[in-house]
Amino acid sequence: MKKIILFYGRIGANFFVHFYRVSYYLGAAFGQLRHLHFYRRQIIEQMYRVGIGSLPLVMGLSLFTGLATTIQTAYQIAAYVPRYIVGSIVFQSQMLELGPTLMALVLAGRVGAGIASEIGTMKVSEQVDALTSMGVDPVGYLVMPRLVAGVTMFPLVIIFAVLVAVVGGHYAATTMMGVSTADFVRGMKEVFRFKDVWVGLIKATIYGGIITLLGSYLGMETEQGAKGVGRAATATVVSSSSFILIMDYILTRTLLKFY
Amino acid sequence: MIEFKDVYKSFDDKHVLRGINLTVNDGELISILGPSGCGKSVTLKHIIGILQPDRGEVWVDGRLVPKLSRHELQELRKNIGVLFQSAALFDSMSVKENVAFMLRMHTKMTEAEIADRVAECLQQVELRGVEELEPDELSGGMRKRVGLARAIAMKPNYILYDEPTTGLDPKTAIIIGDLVARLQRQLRITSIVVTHDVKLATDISDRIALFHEGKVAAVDAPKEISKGDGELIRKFMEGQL
Repeated sequence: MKKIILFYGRIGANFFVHFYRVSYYLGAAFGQLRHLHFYRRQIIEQMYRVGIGSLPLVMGLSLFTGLATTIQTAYQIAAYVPRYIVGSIVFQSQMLELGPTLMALVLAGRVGAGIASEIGTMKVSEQVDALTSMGVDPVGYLVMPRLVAGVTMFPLVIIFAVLVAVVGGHYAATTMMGVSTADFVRGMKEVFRFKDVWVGLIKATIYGGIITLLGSYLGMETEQGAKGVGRAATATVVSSSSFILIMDYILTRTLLKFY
Repeated sequence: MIEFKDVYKSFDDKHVLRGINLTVNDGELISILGPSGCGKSVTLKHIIGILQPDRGEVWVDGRLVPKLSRHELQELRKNIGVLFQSAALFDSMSVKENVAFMLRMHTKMTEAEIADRVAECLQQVELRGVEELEPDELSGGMRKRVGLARAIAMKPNYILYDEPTTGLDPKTAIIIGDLVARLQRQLRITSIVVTHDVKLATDISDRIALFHEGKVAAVDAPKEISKGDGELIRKFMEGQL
């Protein structure tokens, strides 16, 4: 019993230590926002890497989620409801859930692990110390630009993801399910609310912040050479994915209820 | 001038510095000599404020480093060049971008002026035609030289060298040692060289500070320190420490 208490106690203590440190980095990054102009090159570079760099992967995968969602929706509603409903369900599920959440899980691997391994490598090869020794704040130079890129570019990436998924869904509906374009569009129009778009974009913004912040934090805390870099990348994917799914529940419940 | 006054530093239960007292005078080249793990690099990190002492004082140019504000510390760091053990070149940047880094971040120089200064720095470390190369295309000795060019780009008053010859073949180590000594004479800067290379320290230093078990065991001119009859100095010079 004592061992069990100690085990869970250690996990709890670790969680609060990490929570405190992540909060510190978040606060420090916010503090560096006053130097936006000074770090503009890094911000633009990161926005390009996080946003434009992620588009081919996200758009490619979104096409398939759109196709799959449509086929499954058509299968589920088979005999009970009119076929045009396919359009409404595909659009809403992509905008509210699959677009932001599923793509955030993909980007936790591409963007988050990339950030953790890049900063982690810089940390273990003394490049972060070199930055500090040259009078450049590592949080301002490395963390803040990635965080800004995450919260600004993720919503844009998700908009493209949803558009491509809807196109994929339309293709599946019209070619495989026998739903006409007019019916598919009618279904979308009937359920379209700006509220849903905002909910999707708010989710994407928060997920972008989670992934880039955790990747940066775990990268900056990297120790023990290549082994540590690998561990930081893995920890980023695991922790980002976990937080995204937890936040998905909290945000879905909160935003759909009160927004 | 750099001064350490009774500086203590521990990491968990490992006591690395146990009361360091050392004064580095303006314009001199002092080598901190000692076996691995005796606190040489930790001492350097106190000068640029990357580490804070648990006890004691670190003074640079009459300023108490641990008490400096974030902004004051950044200003101080612009005046101190550091050559890291691994050179710590930014591997996402070319040689030119590495050397130009501080100039771009901290000055309002035009691109043409920056290019001229980069070429001048690379010439001072005897490198030519490497501006567009990436760090992973450089040999160990070239990386150190580029690191050195980057360290002198802002014309600092101080240069800190962390193990400048570690990992180099003997011939390249001698070349780097000569370069350190020549830059010292040409630029008239204050230099601290952390090393366990006895030959390098005796060849280039005005004074040598011998570290042992987190303390300064002896400080003197190379010839004097070699003559020392203390058991500790003899053992280190003979490689027994």
